[in-house]
Amino acid sequence: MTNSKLLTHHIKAMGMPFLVKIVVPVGRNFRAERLLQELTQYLQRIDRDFSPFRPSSLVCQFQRGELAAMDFTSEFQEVYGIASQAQKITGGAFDPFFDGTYDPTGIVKGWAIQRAFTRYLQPLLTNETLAAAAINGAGDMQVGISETTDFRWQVGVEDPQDRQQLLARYQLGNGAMATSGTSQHGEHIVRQGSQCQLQQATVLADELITADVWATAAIALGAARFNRLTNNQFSTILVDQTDRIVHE
Amino acid sequence: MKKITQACLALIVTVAIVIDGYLLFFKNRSGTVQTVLSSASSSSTVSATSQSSATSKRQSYQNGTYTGKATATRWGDVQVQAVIKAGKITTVNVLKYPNENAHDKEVNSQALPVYKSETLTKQSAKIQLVSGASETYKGFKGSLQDALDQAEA
Repeated sequence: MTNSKLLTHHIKAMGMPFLVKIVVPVGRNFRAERLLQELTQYLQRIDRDFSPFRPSSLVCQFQRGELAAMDFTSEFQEVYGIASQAQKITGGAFDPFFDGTYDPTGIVKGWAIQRAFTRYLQPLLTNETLAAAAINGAGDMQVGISETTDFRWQVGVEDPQDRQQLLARYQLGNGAMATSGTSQHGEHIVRQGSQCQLQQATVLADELITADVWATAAIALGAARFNRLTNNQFSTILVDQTDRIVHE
Repeated sequence: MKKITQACLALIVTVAIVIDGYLLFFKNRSGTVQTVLSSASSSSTVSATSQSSATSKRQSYQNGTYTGKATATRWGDVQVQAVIKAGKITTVNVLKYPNENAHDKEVNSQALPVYKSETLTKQSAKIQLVSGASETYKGFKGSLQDALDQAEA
């Protein structure tokens, strides 16, 4: 693996930075321009359709009761369905209908990254054009490797008390990791209990949609209720208010 | 005699071709018409992502309930149903079906985390990706992810 090339690219979309990392196997050439163009266009289109800040987006049209039947796209249906399911399985901790208005923003980024990965990067891993690929959207990521490579992604979890330090580190082949916090999000997550409050929650899952929903829910639920609801089915790093890791 | 037979055969073949062509054309046309009609009137599906230019004119959907196609999620298959009044969506219902494969799989090749007590800073040079909640509003600039990327280059 010593001669394989790790390439890093930045994409700006949805008002945030997306990091695309690919590993090109030894002796292979890969021109990333087209891939990056496709990823950028995809993410920008998702933003046009789903941004809660663009009055012309499908989501805003829907909120105003103006969405035409023709614009009820399969993607819109998919996001709506996933958002509703996420609310149900987290016992309402993940709430896309906060204040009575449909706002799927909490899942759109994770959903878009996962779908972009499946559509544009997974095929390049399956046909061995790339040894590994990852999309990291402002701290939430979907990563993958080809079947024959021994490359593993070295993933660190940020320390909420000192953003220049890592709290933990993982080796990942295929999978997803999402981290939610309280200090940076302007406290937009409504907490459901005062016990075992968390300042940061990191969840590993095979799909980013799942990891993202549960990381958000963990902040709302607190450690005890989160663990009861998820029944320890995920690998997590939960950090309490005193910077203690309360669950792994 | 030979000439007459040949002429007759030629005529028969020509007529057959014409009839065939007419039937084929007619059949195709009526088939198309039927498809369009059924999707416009009974409409069990509303999927509007990539409409062909011929149908991209705004169809006026009749009032009623339209059901989309099922999407598989980790938590079961969901199907979204829209109630349409005066061409606009007024209500959305979500139908759920159990999905036997909905259990979360183990993340492949995952190692146990190593914590900062184990001199993680020394190892962070090898880290390629950082998961965190802080980047959302400040961008990657100045973040640990950014520092690691620069070290990598």
